Amino acid sequence: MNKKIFKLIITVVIAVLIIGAAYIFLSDTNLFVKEKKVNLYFGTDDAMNLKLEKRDIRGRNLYLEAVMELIKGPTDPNLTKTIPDGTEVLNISKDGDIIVVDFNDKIVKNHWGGSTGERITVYSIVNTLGQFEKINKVKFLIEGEEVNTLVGHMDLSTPLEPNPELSQ
Amino acid sequence: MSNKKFIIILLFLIILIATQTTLATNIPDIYINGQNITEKLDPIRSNGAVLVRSLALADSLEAELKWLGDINTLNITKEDKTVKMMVESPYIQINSTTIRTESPMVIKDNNTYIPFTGIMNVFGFLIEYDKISNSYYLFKPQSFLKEVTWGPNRQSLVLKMDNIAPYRLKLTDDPKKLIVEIEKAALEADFKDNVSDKNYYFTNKRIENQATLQLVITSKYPLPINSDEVISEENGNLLIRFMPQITSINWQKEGSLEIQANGSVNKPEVSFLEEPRRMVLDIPDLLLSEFEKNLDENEWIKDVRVSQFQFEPTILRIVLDLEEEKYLNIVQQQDSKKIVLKPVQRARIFDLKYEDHQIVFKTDAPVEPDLFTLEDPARLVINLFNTYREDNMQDEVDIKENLVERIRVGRFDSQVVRIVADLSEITAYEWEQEQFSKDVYVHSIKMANKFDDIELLDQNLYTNININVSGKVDYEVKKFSFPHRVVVDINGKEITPEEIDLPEPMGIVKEMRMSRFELDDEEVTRIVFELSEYFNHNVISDNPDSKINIALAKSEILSENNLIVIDAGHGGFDPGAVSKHDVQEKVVNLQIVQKLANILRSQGFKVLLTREDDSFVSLNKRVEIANEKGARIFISIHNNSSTKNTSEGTETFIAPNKSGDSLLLAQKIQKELIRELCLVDRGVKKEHLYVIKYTKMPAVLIEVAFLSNPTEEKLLKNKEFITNSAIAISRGIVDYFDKFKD
Repeated sequence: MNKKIFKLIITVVIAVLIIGAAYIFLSDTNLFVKEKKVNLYFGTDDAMNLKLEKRDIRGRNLYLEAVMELIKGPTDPNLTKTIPDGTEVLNISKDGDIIVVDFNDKIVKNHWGGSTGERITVYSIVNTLGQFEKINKVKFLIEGEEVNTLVGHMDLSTPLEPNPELSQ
Repeated sequence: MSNKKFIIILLFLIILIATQTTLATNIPDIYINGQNITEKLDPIRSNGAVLVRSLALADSLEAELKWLGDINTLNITKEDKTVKMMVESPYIQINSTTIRTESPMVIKDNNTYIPFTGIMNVFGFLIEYDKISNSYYLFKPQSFLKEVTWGPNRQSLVLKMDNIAPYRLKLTDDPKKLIVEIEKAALEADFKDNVSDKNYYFTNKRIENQATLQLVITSKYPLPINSDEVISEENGNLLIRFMPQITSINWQKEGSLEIQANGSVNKPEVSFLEEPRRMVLDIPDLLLSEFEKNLDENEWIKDVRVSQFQFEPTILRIVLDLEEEKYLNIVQQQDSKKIVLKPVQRARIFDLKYEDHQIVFKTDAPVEPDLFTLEDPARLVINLFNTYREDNMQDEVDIKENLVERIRVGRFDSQVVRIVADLSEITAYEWEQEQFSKDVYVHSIKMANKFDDIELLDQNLYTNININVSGKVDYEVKKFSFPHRVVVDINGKEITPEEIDLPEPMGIVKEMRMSRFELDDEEVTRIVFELSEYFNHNVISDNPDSKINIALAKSEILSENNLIVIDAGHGGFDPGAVSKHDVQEKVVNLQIVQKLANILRSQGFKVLLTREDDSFVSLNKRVEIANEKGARIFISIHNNSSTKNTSEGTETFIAPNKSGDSLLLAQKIQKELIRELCLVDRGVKKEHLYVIKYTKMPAVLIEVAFLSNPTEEKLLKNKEFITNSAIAISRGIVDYFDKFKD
């Protein structure tokens, strides 16, 4: 009787192991591609602050993937998107401790405006990119050009440091 | 084994039956004044009624017990009350009266058991039975009702109590019936009912198994209850208030009809009807009752009919059937409980004209017109009952004045002449009737605004004058010297020439006076403000306006060369934020900036705008203007936007590289904006905003409100909101400069 039970347990354990292993191998072929949990900063409902949403991203260029995820918007219904529809990253590069992001002009043309609106957009990007190692500042370009501002308030003529006060 | 089982089952059954038997006998618990005396009274049930041991009860009542065995009779005596009862009889005798109780007395184990609730009632106990716990609670009444009587003028019922117990009013479906319940109360032995008569009936009841006294007031007519505050306490008594009632309609010998009530009567609404010829008086909040009626022999009224025309709201309708060609008019009375009608001949209207900004006409008998205004188009209607117009009276008077454009005369119906004045806008009016000679009454109707009030407000840098008027008026503000004074002249046609109380002098205003006089053939109401010193003044209100607002500067500092650069955000091809209903930020920004510039200039500041119109100016250019002109401060005005339409409020930014004066300026402005606009305070924030970062002087960027928020969007479309924003910002700026005074 004891032998019977022992056999049964062994069978179940083996079955679980096999199914689990099969699931891992079959479901994820990119198991060995670089993957990281990153903080994405989206707007809070009252537009007072930014709040982070953790998301797994994988890809060879973490900076680009992070901004692309920001463009997709938040999954949490209590958070708001920060980057206007149609925005694309034309180029993203690292210059010392500065990341330079070049957006197409949709980020300006489709923007909702307002100091608050602009501020939330800019720092959602700067605070998100600022989380990565050895990155201290972010510089914005629009269609490859240097700009003084995005939509008329923020000074984008110089690289910006993350604003921790905005992130809760 | 089976024996054992049997015994157990048997025992179980026995216990079960025993319990059920106990429940079935249903012996209640008895409490007197909170003390459980069940055991002592040994209650039993007989024919469903509860009986208790007579000896024990008498002991509890401290009563004397006497058993007359040969006639099977028991006597219980306490004080002056003797109760006699016989075995097997449900009737008991109390002194000289006999009542039936719930059960006959029974004999058990050589003891007499007597009906419990019946006897306790006789000895003045109130009994409350609680079904759930199967308990009787006995109380002595905590208050006694001594008398029920009428209050003054039968306007209230007074329940005289020795002290007030919890009470409540029970409204019944029957409007003729009112129930008042008083807890643990009883009628006093010599209770007096001074209320029951041909109209009213007062009774009292006990509710079964409750210690509550129920008083029932029934009336022949619907009960005249006024509102929710029907019952109240007064001088230790309970008071039930009634609406006034009609008491009499009498024809007086001197030739008038008097309608009398037992309380003050409201003004009736009067209408005349033909076929049959009758006059209808609808009197609010007056009730029908048995009233005296005496028409004698009179030539005016054939008959009077009275009915309770309506409840909620209550209206009493009196219909006077009039004789041919006869009219009555209501005469004003000192006595508020009376309505007096006097026969009048039909009044002739003549001499309608417009003079001294008044509608004037004459009648040959006193007339009380019904005046009211109507909108779209604005007009004043004057209904004159029981009147006719003189044959040659004109149909129209053309005036084309500021306020009154035209007066028309028409016949409304066979009894009513209607005069209509077409107005340019709805304004206040005042009717006056004056007896000129025996047969001439002059009526004048003034159309004018009135002063609401005049106030002074003394602030750090300004003494403010506020003149509040009932409607918009044209005015002019003038400054005279030797001595310094500021004068406000208001167009005399637009304001009632009455004087109002002037406030206490304050700040640099040391004296005030008001007068009305002619100026260039025009009437003018003038308010003079004598000043102790003068530097500058600024009219903040519009013209015309209903709130005249003047700021008097209190010092010289403001007129020094202080340049303020004001920057209206966005412009040209850059609309800034655009609201759901296409309100463009650049437009709103410029509106606020222009208003602000006007205010500041009139306060003696020099102001320069980075853009005067809808043109695009780069951020860099804006900064250049301020820096090159050496502005004292830089104010950038914006309106906000966000992705969520719930974002709301006002915020002011300063650059992180500048604090000190910038911070002070921002705080002052933010504080004034919040105080004035009452929007959400998002606070003063530091941010790398271009125009405030690169300007060299203290600089702020104000985000007044959110265009993306529907509520605030609506506000930003409102002219008054724009003005208020500008006023608040100007106050903040003035407050800021106040720091540099001295």
